[in-house]
Amino acid sequence: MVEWTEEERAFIQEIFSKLKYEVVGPKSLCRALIVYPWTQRYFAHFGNLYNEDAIMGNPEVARHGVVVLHGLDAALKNMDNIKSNYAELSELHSEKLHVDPDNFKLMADCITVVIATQMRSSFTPAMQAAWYKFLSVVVSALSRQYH
Amino acid sequence: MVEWTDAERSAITGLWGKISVDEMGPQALARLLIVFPWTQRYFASFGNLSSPAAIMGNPKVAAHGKVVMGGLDRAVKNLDNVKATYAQLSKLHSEKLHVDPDNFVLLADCITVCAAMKFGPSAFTPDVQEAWQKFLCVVVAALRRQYH
Repeated sequence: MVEWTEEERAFIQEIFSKLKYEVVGPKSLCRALIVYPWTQRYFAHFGNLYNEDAIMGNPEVARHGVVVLHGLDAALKNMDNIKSNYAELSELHSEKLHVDPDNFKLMADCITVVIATQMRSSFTPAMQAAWYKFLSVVVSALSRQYH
Repeated sequence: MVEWTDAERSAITGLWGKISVDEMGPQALARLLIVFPWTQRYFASFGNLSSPAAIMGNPKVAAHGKVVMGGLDRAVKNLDNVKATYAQLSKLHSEKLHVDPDNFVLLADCITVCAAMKFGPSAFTPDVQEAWQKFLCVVVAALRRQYH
C-alpha cells in the first residue's frame, strides 16, 4: 500500500482545490495531442486534429479533456487504495480502448505542465514531488490490468 | 540528423533568450533533488540535502545548477549538431561521473516544469512546449550516446 505523509496529502488536496477542471482538462489533452502527436491515433473520431489551432479549438477534445481529468477524482477520494479504484478503468483502457500504457505517463506529464503554468510560483518543489508521486500511483493503477 | 522547422528553431531560441541560467539552473537542479530524491547520491559532497528547504538554500546546489543549465547554451547554438557538441560531456557523465542516463530525462522534465511556471500559459504554449521538449530529447539522446 502506498504511504502518504500528512504533508503530501495536504499538497494533493491543495492542488485539487485550486484546479479548474474545465480549464486544465482541455489544455492537458490538447498538449498531449500536440507534444506527443502519435496519441492522436486514439481520437480519429474527434474530427479535425490537423494542427495546433484545430486541436485547441476542437470541442470534442475539450469535452474529453474534462472527462479524463475527472478520472483523477477517484484517486483523490481514496488515496489509500487507488489500485482497487482503477481496476475497471484499467481493464477498459486495455481491453476496449487498446491504449498503449506508456501514454498514461505522457498524459500525466501534460497535466503537470498545465498545472505548473496555472499555479506558477506556488507549485513548489515539495508540492511537485507529492503531485508526481500521486500521478505515478494513478498511472501504475491504470496499467495494472494490462496483460 | 535532427530536422528542425523554422517555427521550432524560433521557439527554442526565443525561449532560451528569455531564460536566466542563474535563476532557472538552481531551481531545476533543486527540483530534481527534491522530486527524484535518489539523484542526491551524485551530490553527497554538497553537504546538507536533508530537506527541500536545505536543498533550496544550498549554495553548492545553486552553483552547480548554473553550470548544468549553462551547458544547454552550446546545444541551442548548435541545433544542427547537438550530438557532436556533447560527445565529450557524454563521455564524462559515463566514464567519470557514472551517472545513470535515465536521470537525464528527469532533469529535462524539471527544466520543463520551471519553464512552464516562469512563462505561463500564454508564452509556454503547446507548440512551444513541443519544440522545447523535442530540443531536450535531442540533448538527452546526445548525452546518452557515449555510454556503453
